[in-house]
Amino acid sequence: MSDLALEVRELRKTYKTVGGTQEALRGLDLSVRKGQVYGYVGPNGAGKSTSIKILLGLVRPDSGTALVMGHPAGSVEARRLLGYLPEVAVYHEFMGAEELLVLHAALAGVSASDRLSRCRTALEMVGLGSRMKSRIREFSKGMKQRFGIAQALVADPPLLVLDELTSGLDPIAQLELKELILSLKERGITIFFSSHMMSEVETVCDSIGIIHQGKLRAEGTLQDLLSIENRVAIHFRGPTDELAELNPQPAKAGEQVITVEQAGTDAALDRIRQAGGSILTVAPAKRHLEDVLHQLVTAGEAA
Amino acid sequence: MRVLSLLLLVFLFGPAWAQPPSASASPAEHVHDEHCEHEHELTEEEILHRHHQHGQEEVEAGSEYTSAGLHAQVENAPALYKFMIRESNSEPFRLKGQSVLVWRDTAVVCALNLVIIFWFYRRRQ
Amino acid sequence: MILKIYYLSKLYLLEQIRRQVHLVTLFLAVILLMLPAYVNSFSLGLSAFERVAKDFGLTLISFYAVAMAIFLGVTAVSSDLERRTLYPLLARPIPRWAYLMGKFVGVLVVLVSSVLVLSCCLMLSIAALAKFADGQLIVVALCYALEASVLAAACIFFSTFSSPPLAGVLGVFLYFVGGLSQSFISFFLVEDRESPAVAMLARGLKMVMPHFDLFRVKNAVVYTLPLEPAYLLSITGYALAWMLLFVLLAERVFARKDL
Ligand SMILES: Nc1ncnc2c1ncn2[C@@H]1O[C@H](COP(=O)(O)OP(=O)(O)OP(=O)(O)O)[C@@H](O)[C@H]1O
Ligand SMILES: [Mg+2]
Repeated sequence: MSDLALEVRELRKTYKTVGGTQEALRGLDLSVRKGQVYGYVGPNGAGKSTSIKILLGLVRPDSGTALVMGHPAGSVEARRLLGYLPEVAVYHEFMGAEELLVLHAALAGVSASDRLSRCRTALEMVGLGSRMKSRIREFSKGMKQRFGIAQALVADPPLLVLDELTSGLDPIAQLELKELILSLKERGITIFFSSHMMSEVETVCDSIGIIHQGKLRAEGTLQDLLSIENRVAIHFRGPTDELAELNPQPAKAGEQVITVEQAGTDAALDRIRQAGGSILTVAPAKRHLEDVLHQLVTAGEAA
Repeated sequence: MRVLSLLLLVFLFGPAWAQPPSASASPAEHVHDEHCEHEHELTEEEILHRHHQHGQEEVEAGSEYTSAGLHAQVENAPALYKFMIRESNSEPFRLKGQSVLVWRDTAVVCALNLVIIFWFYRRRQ
Repeated sequence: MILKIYYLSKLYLLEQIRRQVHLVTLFLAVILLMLPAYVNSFSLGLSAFERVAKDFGLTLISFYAVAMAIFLGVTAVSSDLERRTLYPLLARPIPRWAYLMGKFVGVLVVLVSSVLVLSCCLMLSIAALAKFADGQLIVVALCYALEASVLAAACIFFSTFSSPPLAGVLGVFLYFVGGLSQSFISFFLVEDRESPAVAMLARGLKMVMPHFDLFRVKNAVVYTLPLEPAYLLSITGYALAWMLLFVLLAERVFARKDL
């Protein structure tokens, strides 16, 4: 048995729409190793949700293969090993939270004796411990999202597939969620999630895949993607003309920034002082995931 | 809400309790008994006939909503109406011995089911 | 698997109860229980009352069952689809046919239980006056429940490939054409209207549809005639076969659907 939790090869899907067709996936490849936390990012309409639905068997691909824990995507065996958070958080709104969760646990095959305690822990994990008896319709959007996460966790599956994990969650909940993900990861659970919150992806993911126009454009660890060589960013205030060879870029409010190799930091600082500039900060140069995404998307659109 | 529905119940049942079933001593009762005695060897004509009688008696007993009234109108009634009356009298006879035909149809539908199930399993492999 | 179907039906039933669908049944039950009150207001004789009450009550039950069947059948799956409550359910390790079966069993339970309640009410209100509880009433009403269940299965099937309003229209069409009796076609369309072409069309359409007229055995109880057990058994088998057919067809369409 392979150590891949998700294995997607050459996946293609074209939707039929009113005006013709809409290509959602154009040969998508993905590999997620067991135990990884994998962040799946891409602009709106990139095909994230489509590929996730294919993994669950909600949508049938036109061609290509997708394996979930070694089972064909969409098979009952595959779904038994998987917890899913749908993109749009809608649940049977007339049901009480605990009541619905117990039914979900039953459908997922949790034994009758464990069900109630499992549901309670799941609800407590997402911070709904005090609202177990409320009906779903009485929940706010964020609470529904939390319920969705509980619902994905309830059967304690070895793989979690979470679509738009943080949508609608407040900053504190997002922080708590990060901790939850890390604790799940410690227990060896594979987590595959799509998100538009880059800071979250940056902090919790072992591996990141960037999808655009139905194809994976980049994949790797955060280090790989951000390619942080040993560079240093120096923020300073002062004359720019004399320092033109260091290629200063304007930063916020009259500040300038130059990036140099770590080894050349002292020399650069001396040059700035000589030119009469005042140093504000010296810090490791950092690219953000946003920048990478932006770059890939513009490159993709130009191509 | 609950009080309201309770009130509604009382309101609706009021008339039923207020008017105890004194009507059970109706003069038409014996007709019912007679009806039961003969129910096995009825023919279509008999039913129609009896129906007629039935109605007649009720008309005499002062009842207006009877099948006799309907029968009287049959002659110049619209076709659908005529049909309904005829149909309602003949239906029990149509049903007799029809179960064989129904079983035949059932068998056909079951065969279709089997075809679909077969198709289902073929697809899965 | 049977257990999972049970949980799905339970979910469906709980939701229907929360939506207060059963209150409609209760309302009708009250009307039926009130029947004796009409005896005096319309000055009916007892025998006439019994016949009219049975006729009226059973007709009411049959209309109710049909309306419920179409409504529940059309909404059972499509509401889950439209609200997208389907996703978390289908992400569970259950095949789609089990999901459909669960819904259908839920609808079946609603239909049969409400018809049972209504026919018991009718029986009670007639027994209150005639001092004779006619158990056949319940049998006849259950035949209507069978009819309605077949129709509901058909509506579930329709709703898998068409929008809810269209599925409803298809259901109504099926009910009317499939419910034409042979004698109606020959009497009304051939003898009276002299339109054999329409009659041919009606016969042809009816041939491939469930024969709903088989389930209408009301007159047996209105005129206190015996119902053959063999016939009852045969229509039960017939209904079950059609229900299975519609659920299987629905599964075939549903399995290929992108949700
Ligand atoms: N049911 C559908 N019918 C037709 N086209 C669809 C359907 N669902 C998605 N698409 C199209 O497929 C493409 C990918 O959509 P998808 O929902 O996978 O994007 P996404 O990456 O999840 O975007 P978002 O970040 O907005 O959630 C889009 O161009 C969309 O228009
Ligand atoms: Mg999406």
